[in-house]
Amino acid sequence: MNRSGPRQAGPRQAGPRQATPRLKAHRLVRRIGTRNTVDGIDVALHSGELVGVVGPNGAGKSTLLAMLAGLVPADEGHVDLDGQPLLGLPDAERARRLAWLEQQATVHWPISVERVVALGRTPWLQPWQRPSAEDRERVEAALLATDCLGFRERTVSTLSGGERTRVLLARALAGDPQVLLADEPIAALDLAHQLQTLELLRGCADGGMCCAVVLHDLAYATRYCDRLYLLHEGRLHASGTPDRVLTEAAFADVYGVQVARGAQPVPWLAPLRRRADPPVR
Amino acid sequence: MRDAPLLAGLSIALLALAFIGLSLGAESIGLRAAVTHLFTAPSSIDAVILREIRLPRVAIAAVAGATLGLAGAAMQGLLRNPLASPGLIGSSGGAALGAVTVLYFGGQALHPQLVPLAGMAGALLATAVVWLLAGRQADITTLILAGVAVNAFTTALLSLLLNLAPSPFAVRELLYWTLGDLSDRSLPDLWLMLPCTLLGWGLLLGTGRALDALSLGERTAQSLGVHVVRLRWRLFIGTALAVGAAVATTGTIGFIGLVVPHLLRPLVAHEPGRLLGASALGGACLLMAADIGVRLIPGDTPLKVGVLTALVGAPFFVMLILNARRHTVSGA
Repeated sequence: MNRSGPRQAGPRQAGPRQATPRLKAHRLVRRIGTRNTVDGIDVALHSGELVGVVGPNGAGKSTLLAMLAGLVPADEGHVDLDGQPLLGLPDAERARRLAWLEQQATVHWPISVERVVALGRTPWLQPWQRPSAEDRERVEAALLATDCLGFRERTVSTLSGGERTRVLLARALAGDPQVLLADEPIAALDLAHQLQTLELLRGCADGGMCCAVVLHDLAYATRYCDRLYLLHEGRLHASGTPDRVLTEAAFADVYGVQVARGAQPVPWLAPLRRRADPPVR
Repeated sequence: MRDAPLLAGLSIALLALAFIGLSLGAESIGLRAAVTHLFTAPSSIDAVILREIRLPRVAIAAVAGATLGLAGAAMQGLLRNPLASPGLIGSSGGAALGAVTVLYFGGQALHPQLVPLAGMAGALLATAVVWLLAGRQADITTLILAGVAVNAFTTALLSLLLNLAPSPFAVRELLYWTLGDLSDRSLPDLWLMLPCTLLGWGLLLGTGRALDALSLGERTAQSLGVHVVRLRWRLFIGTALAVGAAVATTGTIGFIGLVVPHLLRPLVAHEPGRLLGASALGGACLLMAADIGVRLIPGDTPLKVGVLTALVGAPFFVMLILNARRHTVSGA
């Protein structure tokens, strides 16, 4: 499997769409008290696509992603992985197929980069089983792909935020998942590493992985994602290609801003002003 | 195996300490002759001393020390906090209360093993109460709070018994028991503590990989296929069984469960899974060494081993904190 050479983001075709989605969520609802943080959302993710989950703060993006990963139970609705109920799968089986990358993840002990990445192999190992040659190869490949080889011996507590994010991404990739769900993977990164990470995710999708990413940067979302899910107050406001989802009206209604935007040389976007009068419901 | 040198070193230390522990005592006996006599002349003086007095003491020290070290490492791994100790979940408080209750009513006269038996019953009862308080799906904080509440209550009841004790002599007996002691233990005491302890060890030792995954946080561990709720109860019950049985036999012995994982963590690259086995061996070594220490310290009133571990453990802990502080300052 080719993980080491993420290609440059460029013009994309729609990609080979499989008939059945890899991960499919039906009418997901998550309640906290009387409020629905996720309120009846349908999601269908296919192999080979990079999907962005976008929306303002508190729109329910992280909760939705955790529900798609089977980590937060749905109050209503269900998630299917390859046509089987996600929560019906054994824990290890689910973990082998689907990786989840936590937002602002922390590592609680000062353990080495290599060991953290090797933890990605956990679902493939029995409690007393020693890592095999394949396990070690996967770890090496993930370290290489995320540019972590240079500090593999260091302890995670000595790394910068950006380095730590890459290590944790490597951890997720080391498990060789078919589905990767990443919650704001570029939030702590500098510009170069933002590009590097997004290109890596793009490369994973092009290699056949099914990737969904929570992003705040809508210019990046436009530039790298095949499709977007735009969430607003727990509901799905729109979904589809970035151009169809991120309309003037969507910025006004969902984000409450007017934006300036362009497509050259890459998609860019800048908020101009907040909308004075919120839309009337 | 990466830890083979460390584990081998600790095992050698364990054997050496066992040898010293078996050799020390009021009567001087030839250890080799005594061991031979165990099989050839079981009723000879030196065989009886070895079997009835020294062997139980050394073996109980090893088993109880290993339990405290292992449970301490497991709790610290579960809570991802180097300050967690096995007493946190209430079972040691329950064990102490159970044992002291029997002492208070003079139950030890009925049967010599009634005290540890009641201690184990108390540990299980306290664990059951924590379970009921916290609920099956309890998160870590609720679990600890329930443990702290049960601990507070058992301490209160213990104080009540001390308060109501009919004579200063009775107070002394009750208090002494809570200090932690390994003297005058018998082989039946050892047989009584072993089943629960071994069962607890079995539950704890298999959790290494899950504890490693847990260092990435509960939800990420869950995404890696670790059933976090199940793991939590497994560690909780394993600790309750093993520590409950140990405390019921020896009384409360502090600081081993806290200090041993601390001491060994840098030697296993801070990995919680690798720490389990090393801490078990280290705990056994430390408690055996402490017990040898109290036997060597001269004086009319023999020192209790729990007093010595606390006396040595507390300053040692201060040293660890100062060390850690220096590292943080230089690292910042």
